[in-house]
Amino acid sequence: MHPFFRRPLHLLFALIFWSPLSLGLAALLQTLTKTDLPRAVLLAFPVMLFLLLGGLSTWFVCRFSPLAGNSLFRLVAAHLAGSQFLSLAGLLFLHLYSSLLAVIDSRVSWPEIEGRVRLLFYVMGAIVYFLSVFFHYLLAAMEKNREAEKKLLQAELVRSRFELQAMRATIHPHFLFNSLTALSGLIIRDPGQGREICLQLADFLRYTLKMTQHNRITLAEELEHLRNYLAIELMRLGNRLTIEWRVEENLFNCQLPPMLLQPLLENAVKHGIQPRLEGGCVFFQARAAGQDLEFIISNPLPGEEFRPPGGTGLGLKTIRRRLAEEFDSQACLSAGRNGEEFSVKLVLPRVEKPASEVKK
Amino acid sequence: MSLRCLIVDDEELCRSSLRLELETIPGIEIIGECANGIEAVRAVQELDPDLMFLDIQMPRLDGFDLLELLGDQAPGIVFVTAHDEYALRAFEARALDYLLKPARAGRIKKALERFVEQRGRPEQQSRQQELLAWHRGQHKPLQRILVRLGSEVHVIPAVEIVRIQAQDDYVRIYTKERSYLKTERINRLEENLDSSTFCRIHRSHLLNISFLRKIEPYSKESYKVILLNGESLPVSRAGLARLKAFF
Repeated sequence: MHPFFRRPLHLLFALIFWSPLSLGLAALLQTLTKTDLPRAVLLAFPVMLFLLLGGLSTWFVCRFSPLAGNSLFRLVAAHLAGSQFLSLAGLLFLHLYSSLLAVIDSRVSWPEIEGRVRLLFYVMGAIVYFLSVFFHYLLAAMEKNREAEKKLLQAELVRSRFELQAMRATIHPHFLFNSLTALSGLIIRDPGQGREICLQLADFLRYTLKMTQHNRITLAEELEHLRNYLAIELMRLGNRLTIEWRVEENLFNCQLPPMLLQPLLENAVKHGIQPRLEGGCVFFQARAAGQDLEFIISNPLPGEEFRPPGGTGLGLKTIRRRLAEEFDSQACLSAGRNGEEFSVKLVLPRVEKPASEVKK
Repeated sequence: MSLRCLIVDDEELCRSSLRLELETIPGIEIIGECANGIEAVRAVQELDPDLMFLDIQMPRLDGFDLLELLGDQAPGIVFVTAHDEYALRAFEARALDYLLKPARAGRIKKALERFVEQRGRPEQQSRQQELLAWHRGQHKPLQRILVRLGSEVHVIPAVEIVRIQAQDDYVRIYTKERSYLKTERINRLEENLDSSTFCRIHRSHLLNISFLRKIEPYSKESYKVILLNGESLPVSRAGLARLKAFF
């Protein structure tokens, strides 16, 4: 259905806009046919209304022959035929209508008047036709624009939802309050180390709050964040947690979206180390693999009967969605069990920060 | 007389933190610290504390497991958690007291007053049992069964259970190697174990069907099952219908 008919107010506006035009035409008719103004109006308004409705119906023509994807020849042919059709239909309507008028009002010669204005209405039909085609194409373009904008907004919404999720996951209340409790114990026992952890916790929190403003950070920055995070976990878990760290140094300037790695490490600690009485070792590796940047994070698994219900599935799903958003299919995340070990592999396109931007 | 307390938390520094606060409260004696549920079971047996500050999230055996294992031997319990929305709602719904980490002396004192006031009232026990039932409902199907023999804790993975037999107020749980006695109703185990592996073949028998070898006629209208280890068990009429539904 034509958008105008879905919104009666718009239709009303069109009619109001149309009236002065019709009145102008009526004035023209009056001089052309040498009849009086009321009769000119009587003739002009209905015919113009007919043309207006005809013009609005070009919406269908425009929808089925959009500017994009149609040859110029086809468009010109379609609209020439369309304008001819509207003009002739207008003339037919004029003829029928003036015959009707002739029956009602016999004081003037309606057939004669009709003969004088035929050419005018023929031209008018073509003008109305082309104007409305122009108008409808404009409308379609605007609508397309609006839809593109809407899509953009939606993408933005998805992004901010990711950010919120990442933030919630990072400043996980359970992690935060346990850390603060442990810290309150540590401060008495070892004030120096307590202070150090305090500062690391501050850096960790600030990074998490700030990361939403950055699209990309360097690997060096992210690694610093991971170290802060792990220092806090080490304080909590003591000798139950050990970390094996293997990072190729020439990768420090590589760029990646923030907060991809920390949730993976957190999963490793939460699902691999914490449920194990004896703890274990988390392995973290970053290396170049051809054009890609490859991360491997692995951890031992607790025995089946000690595995807390609810796995890492949701966390991994969130990260996968985020990767798809950022890299389309150029990045991938695979995870799986290998005997008594769980390991996650993350592959990203390797992008170095331009040398000019590297802070020294 | 002072209250004899036990602190159960897997994080050493969290225990220290709580201890520091508890030491400022008169009338409290800290008789021990435990880093996990297994240690806690032993400590409760050996030290018989009045009150236990119990962290919910712990490796291997968490606070709920401990509650189940101790049964009616459990001392008074004040739950301690950093943040666990589900558990908190469950505590509140059952009017059970809990502390949020890091806990401060003022709040701990209130919990202690409440404990002393309600001490020995039977509803406290039933509230804890209700909490446990809620927790089981959240974690179906059961992946393991916990059995306590004195201060020894056995964790039996569900996949290793061959069969379970009802004996008065107890059940006997058979694995390939040995059997364990547990105070439990067989109906509850049937309800909570994975219903795609365990089948109630008889009023007093629950069978892990992965250990089933065959079903054969026993007498005129009755049947029995033969297990992989050669044992045979009776099958009731309703049990036969249930067993047939598996194949």
